[in-house]
Amino acid sequence: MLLTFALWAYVAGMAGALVLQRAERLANVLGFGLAALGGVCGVVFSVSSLAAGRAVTIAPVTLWSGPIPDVRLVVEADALSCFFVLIVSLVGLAISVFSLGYARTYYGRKNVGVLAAVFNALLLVTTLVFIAGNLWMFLIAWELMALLAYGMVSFEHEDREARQAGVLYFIMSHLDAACILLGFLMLAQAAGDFSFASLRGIGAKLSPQQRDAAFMLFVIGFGIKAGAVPLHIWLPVAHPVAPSNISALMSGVLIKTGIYGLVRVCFEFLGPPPMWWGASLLAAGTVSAVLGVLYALMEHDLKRLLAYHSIENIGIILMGIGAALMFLHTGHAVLASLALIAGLYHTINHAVFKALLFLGAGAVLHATHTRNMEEMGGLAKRMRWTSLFFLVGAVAISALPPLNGFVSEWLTYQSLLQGFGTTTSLVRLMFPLGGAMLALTGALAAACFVKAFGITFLAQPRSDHARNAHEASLPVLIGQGVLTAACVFLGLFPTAFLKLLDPLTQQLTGHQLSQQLTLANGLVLSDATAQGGTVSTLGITLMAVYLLPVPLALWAMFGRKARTRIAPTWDCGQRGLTPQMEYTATGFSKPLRMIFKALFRPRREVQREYDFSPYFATTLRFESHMEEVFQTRFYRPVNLWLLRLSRRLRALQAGSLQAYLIYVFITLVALLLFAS
Amino acid sequence: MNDWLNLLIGLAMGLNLVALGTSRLPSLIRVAALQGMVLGIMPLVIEHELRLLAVAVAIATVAIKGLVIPALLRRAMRTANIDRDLHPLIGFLPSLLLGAAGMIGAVVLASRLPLLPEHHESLLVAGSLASVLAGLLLLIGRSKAISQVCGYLILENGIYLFGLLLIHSVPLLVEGGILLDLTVAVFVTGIIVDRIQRAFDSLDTRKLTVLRE
Repeated sequence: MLLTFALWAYVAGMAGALVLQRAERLANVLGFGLAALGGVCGVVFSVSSLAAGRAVTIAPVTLWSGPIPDVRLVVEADALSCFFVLIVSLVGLAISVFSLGYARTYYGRKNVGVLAAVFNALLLVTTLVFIAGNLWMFLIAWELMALLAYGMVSFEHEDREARQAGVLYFIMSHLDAACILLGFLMLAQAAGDFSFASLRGIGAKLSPQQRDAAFMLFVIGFGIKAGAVPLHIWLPVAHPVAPSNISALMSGVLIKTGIYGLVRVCFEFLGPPPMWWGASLLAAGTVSAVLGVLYALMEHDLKRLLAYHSIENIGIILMGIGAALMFLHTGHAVLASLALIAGLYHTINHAVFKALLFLGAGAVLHATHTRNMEEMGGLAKRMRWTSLFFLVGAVAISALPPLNGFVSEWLTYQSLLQGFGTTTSLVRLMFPLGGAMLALTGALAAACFVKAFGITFLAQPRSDHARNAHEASLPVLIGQGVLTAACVFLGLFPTAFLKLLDPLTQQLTGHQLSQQLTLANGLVLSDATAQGGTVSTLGITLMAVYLLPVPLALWAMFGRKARTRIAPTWDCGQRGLTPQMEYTATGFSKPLRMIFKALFRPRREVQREYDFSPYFATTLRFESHMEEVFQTRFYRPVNLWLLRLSRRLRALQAGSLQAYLIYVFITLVALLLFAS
Repeated sequence: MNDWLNLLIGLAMGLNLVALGTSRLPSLIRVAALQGMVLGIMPLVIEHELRLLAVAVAIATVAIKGLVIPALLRRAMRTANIDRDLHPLIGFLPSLLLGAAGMIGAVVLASRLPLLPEHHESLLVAGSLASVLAGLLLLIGRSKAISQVCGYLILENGIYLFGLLLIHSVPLLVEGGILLDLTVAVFVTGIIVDRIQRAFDSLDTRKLTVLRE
């Protein structure tokens, strides 16, 4: 049994790394090596069972049953589980290989054994979240995942920023666990049992109000985990401060557990959705996508920029899932399958390219010892492979053909554009609006990655850090290479990959679409309707390859006679270009900052000291800030109110034993009266 | 059989009121000890045939609740060298009235609980609730640490009475375990009482408020 083997590999990796934490080299190799092995097993397991089209891969197995009745840990795997196991295993595999090299940077500084052990444990519990077969298993694994991730966010706890980020993450995780727990208890109460099998379609037994309440709880809970706006505030704080391999895992996989939960609950447990469920998810997705990318544009911390892009991509995924729920309501099961496929395809795509970009950022961070893009530059010459991989990831996340981001966003467009005709109510306006916002998002993402790649890797080094940068070690490059290959494969051969999604849509919407999505010789992607659009990423690539001889031929015919002249770059008559003359990240994003002034509320402060005339300043001091709207307008007031309330409640804590006993006494009497 | 049991429970309930009404620490300890001994005899009355285990537990209960714990408390009282007055937070008369009201409430409540038919006749539930309430009243209304221990003892007696309901399904071994816990708790409290006395020059638990954050 491959999955069992994978899980044991994680356990062994965890134990081995802990035992050998004194010998850090051995702990590194053993811990991350076993994690990679587990990843390979997980990938083979999930791909083979998805390719075989099995609906149920593992029937419910009871791992442990406690002395109290109903307390059981059950695992089971259906198509949905397998798909997410594929994501965690694939990304986990690449990150493990990367970490073999990356963890060396912690030698002598931090405990590598603990890092490797927690990494293995994270992979283990995340896999368990996906294959949980009852609520106990799910919630325990869910909480463990949050705890371990908290430990990793504050791994570099000497840093104040890391500690604060850890606390924020911890609080938000508890909030989300509380919401999920309440929601699941509502369902379990109706079902009278904790197993997922008995929760299927349980929404039918609830009253509409109860279903809506449960839906809201789940959206808040899973939305926090996924990082959807406005529940996202922990994400851009927590992801950057973790070690880069953990950031990649968190951004690539852990936030997808929120998506998994939403899909599981909305499509399987809660029953037929009313219109507003899908509409609200679509709206939340649209807002997340646009705001995520806008905030990303303003960042010049490379890892924070990537974290904001996670919010954007979660938004795109939510758009697909929301649209699917709306189509289920209107009774268009084929379109629902299409939108669901779009969302899930984007889920794996985002996992792959975001992990790739975070790994690239990790390599850069290690080489330059800074996360600030304004201090980088010129790394393309010093880190050739890393910059190539990062470029591929950047193209993919910007949804440019022919890479994978394009495929899933194209599918999302298609489902949104088809959506306008599915209903006559005013809600249908959301579809073209969402499509337009998605287009805006794509364009802004491209602009953002022009900035990220250009400022980081091109031009001259802006600091000594960047000047002394060097290429990363081999495992680090291989880890990125694996994900790059995955990006290219998912981009060029979507028709092959879509077959794996068949059992999944069969399970959730009752349709298999890969046949209709594939045209001609199996290389053209269609949108499953007769008059819909088609596209072939492979065709686009081949076209580019075929056309390559044309410029060569043109050059051969006309260009050879031209004289080749080597001269310095034109520099307006200045002598020599210096890094100070380069475009900065802040400068690059200024036009957009001005356009969206109402959102960002930029504030700048210039202090100029001069002797004779303001035009000849002796010193200049420049500061610019942006208001973090969600923190200042929502979270901070709520926080203050809570603090005030708790200060009042503190009067109850008189410190007197007798007073406490009176509380106990009153409670007891009240309970007795209530009971009688 | 039931008459004997109800007589003993009635005795215990009466002792609750005595405990609430007494103003001297030594007599409070004596009342708690007496109630413990009364409770200790009960398993012998309930059990139809005398089994060795039941006898052993009864003897242990009587010995520990009636002799060992009071001895420990008296020792603590002596070494801490405190005055014998109780300094009530709730006066003796209000305590008595509240205790009596609690007792009536307990009897009313017990008659309205959905009990097994064989328990309808006995006062076990009523006595148990009344003892718990009396114990809590003592805990709230008396400020000395040792009187609190006595309140705790009486509260535990109430729980013990409730446990007697299940005497046929739960082995007395469990009761034995509780007894052990109780002894250790009192033992530890005895030590703590000494420490509080040294640190605060008093055993008034109200002074512990300075420890709060």
